[in-house]
Amino acid sequence: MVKHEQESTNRPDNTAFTQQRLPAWQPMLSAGIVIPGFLIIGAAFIGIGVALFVTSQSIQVLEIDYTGDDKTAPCYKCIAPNQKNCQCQISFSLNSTFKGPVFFYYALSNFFQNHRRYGVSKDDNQLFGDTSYFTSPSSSCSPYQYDSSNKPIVPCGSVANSMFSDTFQLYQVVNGTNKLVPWDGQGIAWWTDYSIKYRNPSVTPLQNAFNNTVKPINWTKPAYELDPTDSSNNGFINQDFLVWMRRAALPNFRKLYRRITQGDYAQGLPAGNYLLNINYSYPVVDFGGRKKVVLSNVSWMGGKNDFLGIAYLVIGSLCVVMSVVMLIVYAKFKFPDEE
Amino acid sequence: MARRRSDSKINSRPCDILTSRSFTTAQWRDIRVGDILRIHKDQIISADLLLLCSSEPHSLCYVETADIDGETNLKYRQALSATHIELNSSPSEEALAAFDGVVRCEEPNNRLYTFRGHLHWKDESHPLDSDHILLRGTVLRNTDLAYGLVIYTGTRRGLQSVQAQCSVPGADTKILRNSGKLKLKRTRTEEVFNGVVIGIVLSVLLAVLFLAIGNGVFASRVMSQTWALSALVINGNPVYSAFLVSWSYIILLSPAMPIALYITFEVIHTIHSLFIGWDIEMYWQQTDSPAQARNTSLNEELGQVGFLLSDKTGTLTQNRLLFRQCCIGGEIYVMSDKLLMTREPVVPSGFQWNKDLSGDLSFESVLMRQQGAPSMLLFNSDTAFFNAVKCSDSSASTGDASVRAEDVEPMDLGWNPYSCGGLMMSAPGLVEKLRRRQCPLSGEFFRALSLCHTVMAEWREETPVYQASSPDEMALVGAARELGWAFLSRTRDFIVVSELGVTRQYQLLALLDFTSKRRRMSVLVREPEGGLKLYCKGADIVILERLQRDTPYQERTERALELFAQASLRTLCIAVRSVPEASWEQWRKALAQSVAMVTCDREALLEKLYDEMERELQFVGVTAIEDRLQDGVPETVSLLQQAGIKIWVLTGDKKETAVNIGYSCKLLDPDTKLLEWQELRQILQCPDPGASFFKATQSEVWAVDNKTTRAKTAVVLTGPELAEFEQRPEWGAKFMSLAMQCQSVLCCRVTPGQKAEVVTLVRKHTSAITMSIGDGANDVNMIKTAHVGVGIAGLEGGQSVQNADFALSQFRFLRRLLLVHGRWSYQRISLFLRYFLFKTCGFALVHVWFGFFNGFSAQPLYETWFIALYTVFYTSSPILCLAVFEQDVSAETSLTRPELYRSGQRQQLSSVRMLCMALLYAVYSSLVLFFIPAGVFFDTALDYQTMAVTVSMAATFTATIEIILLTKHWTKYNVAAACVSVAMMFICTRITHNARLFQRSPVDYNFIGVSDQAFADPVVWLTALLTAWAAVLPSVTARAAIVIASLHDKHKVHSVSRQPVELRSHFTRGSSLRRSSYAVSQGPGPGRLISSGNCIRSAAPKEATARTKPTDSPHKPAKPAHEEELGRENI
Repeated sequence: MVKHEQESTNRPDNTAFTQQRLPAWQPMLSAGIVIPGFLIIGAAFIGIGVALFVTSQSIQVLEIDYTGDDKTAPCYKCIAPNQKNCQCQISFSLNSTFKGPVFFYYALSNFFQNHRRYGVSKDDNQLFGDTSYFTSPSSSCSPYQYDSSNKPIVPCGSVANSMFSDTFQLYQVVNGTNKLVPWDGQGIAWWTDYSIKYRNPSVTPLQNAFNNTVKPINWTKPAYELDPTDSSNNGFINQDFLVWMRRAALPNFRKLYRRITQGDYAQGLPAGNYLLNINYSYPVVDFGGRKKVVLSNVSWMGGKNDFLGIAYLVIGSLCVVMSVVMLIVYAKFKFPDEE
Repeated sequence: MARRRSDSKINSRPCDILTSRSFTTAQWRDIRVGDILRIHKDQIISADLLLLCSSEPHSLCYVETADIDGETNLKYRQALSATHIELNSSPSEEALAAFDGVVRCEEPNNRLYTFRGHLHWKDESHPLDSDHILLRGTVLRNTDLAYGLVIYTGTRRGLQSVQAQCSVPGADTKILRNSGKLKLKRTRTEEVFNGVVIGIVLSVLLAVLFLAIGNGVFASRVMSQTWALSALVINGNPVYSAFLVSWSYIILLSPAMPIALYITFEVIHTIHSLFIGWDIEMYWQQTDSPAQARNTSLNEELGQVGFLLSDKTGTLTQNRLLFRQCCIGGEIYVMSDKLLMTREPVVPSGFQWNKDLSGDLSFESVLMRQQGAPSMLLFNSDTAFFNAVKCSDSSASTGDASVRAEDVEPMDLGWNPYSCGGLMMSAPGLVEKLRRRQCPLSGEFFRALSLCHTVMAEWREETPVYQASSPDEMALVGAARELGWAFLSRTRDFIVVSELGVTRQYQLLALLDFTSKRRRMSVLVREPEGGLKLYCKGADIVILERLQRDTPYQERTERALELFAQASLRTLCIAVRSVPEASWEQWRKALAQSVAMVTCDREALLEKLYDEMERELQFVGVTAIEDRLQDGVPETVSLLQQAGIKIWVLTGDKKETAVNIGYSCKLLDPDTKLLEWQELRQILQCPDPGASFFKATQSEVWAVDNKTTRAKTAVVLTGPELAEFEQRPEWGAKFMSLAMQCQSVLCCRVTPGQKAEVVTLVRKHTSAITMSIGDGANDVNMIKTAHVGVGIAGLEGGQSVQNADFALSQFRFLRRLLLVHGRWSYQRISLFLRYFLFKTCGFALVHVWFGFFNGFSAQPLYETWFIALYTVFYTSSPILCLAVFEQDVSAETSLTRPELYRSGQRQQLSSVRMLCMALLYAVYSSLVLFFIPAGVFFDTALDYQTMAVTVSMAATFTATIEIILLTKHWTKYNVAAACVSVAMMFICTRITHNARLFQRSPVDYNFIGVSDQAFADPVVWLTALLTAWAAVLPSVTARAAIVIASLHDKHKVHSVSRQPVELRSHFTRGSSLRRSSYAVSQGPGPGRLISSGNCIRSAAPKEATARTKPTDSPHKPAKPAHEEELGRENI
């Protein structure tokens, strides 16, 4: 109808879009795709699960609980409040070589580092090295913003204030003498944390930046004296501090304390007797928490994690089982005569 | 806004109001009660008026009421003789200005057919009834000028009557009283969804309450014991802390309360509405109008319609009656108009189509040649073909119906000066015969048509323009004119006819008028040559029993009547009798005597006399008239019925016409039993309507198959009968339960208000979605009342479109609107809602579970940026694409498998159950999303921020996998959206973890460096993958199970659809159902007006027209079902 064309101003456009005729792929699922699909996915999951599980099993882990709430425990003497410089020793023995590099963790349980009010209780600007926030910390730090004499707390806030304060020394007992196992406190924090996220103010000496501020209430040492052995590991970029500031996801967590990568123990801890000296100062008993130290070596998947492997195996086998069930049902439909 | 605009347009229409002594043009809005208006020809009457006088003799005036009751014929209205005489004698303005009558009338009401009142004028009281009233919305026709006194206006303005007073303050016009209230329409799905959302909000608030209590308990029990946390309890008060944390949780869980969804919902609705407007297959070339979704929020309701309540005139029918065929002397001649071929039909093997040069395809002729057996025909749409096949089949087997159809060229009627076109004749043989006067019988036939009627002729531009009270007569007289027997004019005593160019004047001796009882009319004329002839036309059985003994062609005629009936044509038999002069004289005297009688049995006597005259008739022929359906109506009706939609017809028209249309548009099968009021009433009064209904439908002799009988029952009701429902509200439920079992319900002679009441009845007693479709002002109320209202954008008015939710140009577009757009919309929106609930709830509820591990402290498990971007950037575009592009089956399949529509009617996809399933699924996946990563991260050195990224990845993967599973129709946009969403997640995460942004604002971007670590960690990836897969596992399994389970059904479906389609008709000889009728207005028979010559208003009571009842002729059940199948293939 050519003659009408001029009148047809309202005629809709005849395009694939307006006519809803866009070329489209319409996958038709059939039993031939679904059943093998399930089988393949299930098999893949089982495969991953086996790999994870085997890897996880190959990781050696030694956990030592030193909470000391048991009267027989070596650290029982330290749990009483208001003790200073309490030390306790725990000895353990390794029956076989603990392959290196060995990572040394401390673990806390029932400690809610993921509590929101706890988590926000810090001042990112202050920790970024902005000295203006040294004199007036963010109100998010409250009630650890100012001390009782109204001096600003640096680093302010609950997270910093509750920093884990126990320290450890590991000795190998060789022929009755304690041989210190050397370990490395560097490289335990994230690179982005100590190079970008946390910064010391560009004031030398560092101590001057902290003038007119006070250390967090629970701290024994100010921030600029956290590591007496290494001056570059002080202030906000102290690696123990950084590890602590990186909050845990769940109330039971581990944090990396040291890596045993040097000297005689770079290849691992040989079998034998060991002594762990603990400077016990961090109270956990009153809230029902526990403290542990964990020795572990690592693989490509990080630390030991049986859960992931088992979860993969469970889901994988579920898929396989379902594919089998489907196959049976399918066979019943497809070949009803043979029944 | 559109409504306001159209309102003001209507209110600004001009009209002439009498002010002091002259008429001035004013706007409609200025009309006050008591004004005197001057109405011109073809003007729409603006208020309810009392007709004072008109320019016609005796102050008659003609109005068209199509907008009000759907009847197309003209109605007569006449002024009171008192006002006529007084006001017409002197110059009208002055006389009118001096008019000081007082009208006392009843309060405004919605009864269109009654009016009671009195005119007090010059110390006399004249009773008024509806014949004196011109209703608003009607159109003045054939009358140059009419003057009326405004009685009711549209507004409730105060009375400012100048010359007359109406005793009522609120003066709404009757049509306004009928138009109902405008309501805000909301879809069922939306209502269900709103309910679910309220449920979600309540559960979230409940959860928040528990979390807050948990927080309080944690604060008092654990935090106070923990030295690191004890100072963090706000003000040291756990209750206050709990109060504050509840607000944090409300914010944290707010994504589960899908407020953003409503915005997206509107966007999707709007796009769906645009698609409706864009659909080129719903575009009507002739009026240049595409379909229109005026209400953009009802789209998915189109996919759930259970009841379609349709107007008849202008919706199912075209308002055109066409002279289709005739049978003269046992030979069938076919008339057909130009075949408008919109597309080339698919032709079953064995047939070929020829297309002639002009592009016009003449079905029947081609077919006839192919078949070798001549046939008859028909419609200009898909059905045409099948009727042709059917008919040629049956005629070939009998061989006694034949057609002269040698040529497909449009017939040359140039020799006829009175021809106006409009009749395309494919039977030049007949014309040849006529012109050569070879066949006296066919001459007689057309002479009868041109003489025996009550049509008035009006001369306009040298051609007669006919005005008839019956559209049937109009069609017959028009056809006769086209073929050379042109009715030119009539006076009281003479009828002037041009017979093939020769003007002849017949003296009209007597006009034996039509009544519903007689079902025939005759004229007795004296030919110019002096002979006396009686021409009679009427219903077939009435005529056939009055024929001379040994009528020729008896069998052929019977055959033709059956064939016509099969083609759903209305037939009339034409007969003639030469009356001897002697018997005329005798009869005339008897007639004069009886007319003079004033006794009550005058009517009976007259009838007896008439009967005496109409005897010994000589049979001439049969006419077959098609009440022209809109294109594609029967196919659409049958398709929608297969889709499980109950179609009811609500019309202001007569019962006979409605039933007839019911048959011809395949709403009723030929063997459908009609359940009328008496029977229905008995059933309803019965304590157990179901049983008696069953009994009633069983009792029929011809009920062959018990099972089908039940379904093949239709209820026919009329307006007054329907009014009884108002008094018996308890019948409503009973009636509906019966109606659910019926094939259809036809409501005739209903007012617009009653139409709406029927809709309300259906809405009240069923849970189905109702849809109303109509084209006139009389349908406005029902369009507004139904869940979905569709207006047919017809030629006039547009009132219905103004009030409709959707506007179409053709009834047949309904199948596409419902089965394609409606179904898709419903599917898409159901999927959209379910998915949206799933993705937001699954995403947000994680915080509830996390609360158990962080002391209910409202710690988010995601980075703040992720929460902000998740719904907008990471998951919205694929679902938007799905909601716009998804097609589970193509448009073609939707139309060929109407049964797919039923899932929408049962609300299978959007029920509360389905939405709750989606919610449960969301809860499950939120559990998985939290606990699998929690298991992995528990007691490890991995930190919170890494876990946040892991869970974010898992949540995004879950949402993406789910949408991949949902999408069955992958356009390039879907693929792009899915890919872009996931990519966006990684890109945006990298950006917000960027060092530069951190340096700008350390607080806002303190996730710095997390993605560097996390994306490099295999454990994070493996956890995210496992979590996502485990989260969607139920969905995947359910889908797989459906695939496996549907295997069995699919086998069946395929084997069924492979059945060969039988082309042969199921019609068997003698099985047809004759419908011989004569549709005359419900107004008084106009014959008396003519024969009395002075147009005195007839005192005759209103008469219904007659048509032969379906039970008049023997019939067996026939199955048109397979024709419909064929019809669908042709689409």
